[in-house]
Amino acid sequence: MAGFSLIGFSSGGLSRNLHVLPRGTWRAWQFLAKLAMIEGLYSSSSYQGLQKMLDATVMRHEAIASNLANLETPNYKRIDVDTRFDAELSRAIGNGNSKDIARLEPRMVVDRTAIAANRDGNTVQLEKEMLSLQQNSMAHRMQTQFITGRLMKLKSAIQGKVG
Amino acid sequence: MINLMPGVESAASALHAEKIRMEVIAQNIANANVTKMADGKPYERQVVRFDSILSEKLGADSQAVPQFVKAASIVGDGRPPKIMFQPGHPDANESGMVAYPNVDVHIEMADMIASSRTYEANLAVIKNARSMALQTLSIGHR
Repeated sequence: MAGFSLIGFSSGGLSRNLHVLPRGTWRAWQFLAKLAMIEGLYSSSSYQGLQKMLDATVMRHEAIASNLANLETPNYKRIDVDTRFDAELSRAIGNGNSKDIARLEPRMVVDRTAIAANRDGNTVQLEKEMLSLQQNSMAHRMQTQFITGRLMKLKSAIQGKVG
Repeated sequence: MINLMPGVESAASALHAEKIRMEVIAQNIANANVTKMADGKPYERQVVRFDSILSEKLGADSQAVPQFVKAASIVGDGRPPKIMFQPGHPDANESGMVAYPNVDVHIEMADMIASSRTYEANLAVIKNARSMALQTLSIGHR
């Protein structure tokens, strides 16, 4: 999380070259520039990282729902999002390589570290699942607010005023 | 169709299964003193057997998929009836013994608590999914 930059586009590069343009193409150039800037926002590594984190959060919610639904099914083994995903994602965000981030996909795997609490072979524990449900919910809130914050910054940049 | 609320199908299947279990528990308690059914035997305690079914979303790249739950079957408990000495009872045999159902109301009450806890847990999943969906829809609004 510490590696996040704010809205990731730089200004100043455009205005330097404006005087060489013919008058008629100014509007088209402006439009293209705006497009390019918005593209830059959406393809920046921290924004893509946020998207992937949100994907993983949604997938984890599905896994928790499945685990709680099968709370009393004999021989059910709890599932979760692959724990390697978090490590790989934070490494990719740290490197700032958006291609690496785009390639990462969260996967659902059977949790082999969980052990059955009783003889029916079911590895789900209600308390743990409720706890991770709440944690996941908070993570989702944080991620949506991050994304909203970035979009809001872009909006205020477009409008040229705050709020 | 887009899946705006993740996991609600699993949770909904569990709510349905728990509803069936609750009905069976109610049936057990209601029939706890029925000494003669249509077949001449006392009522036999029924238990629900849960089974999980794979969701249709079989991901090619995932090792695991979310699973639904269903009340696969309702089977007899199998334990013998409780025999009590009650000579005046209409269903008593020659030696005055009456066969009562193998239902223990205390066990049924404990099962009922477990069932309602499971129901609550799944409701919490649905509530969370709903608030997550609302937050997702409010991306870009303050």
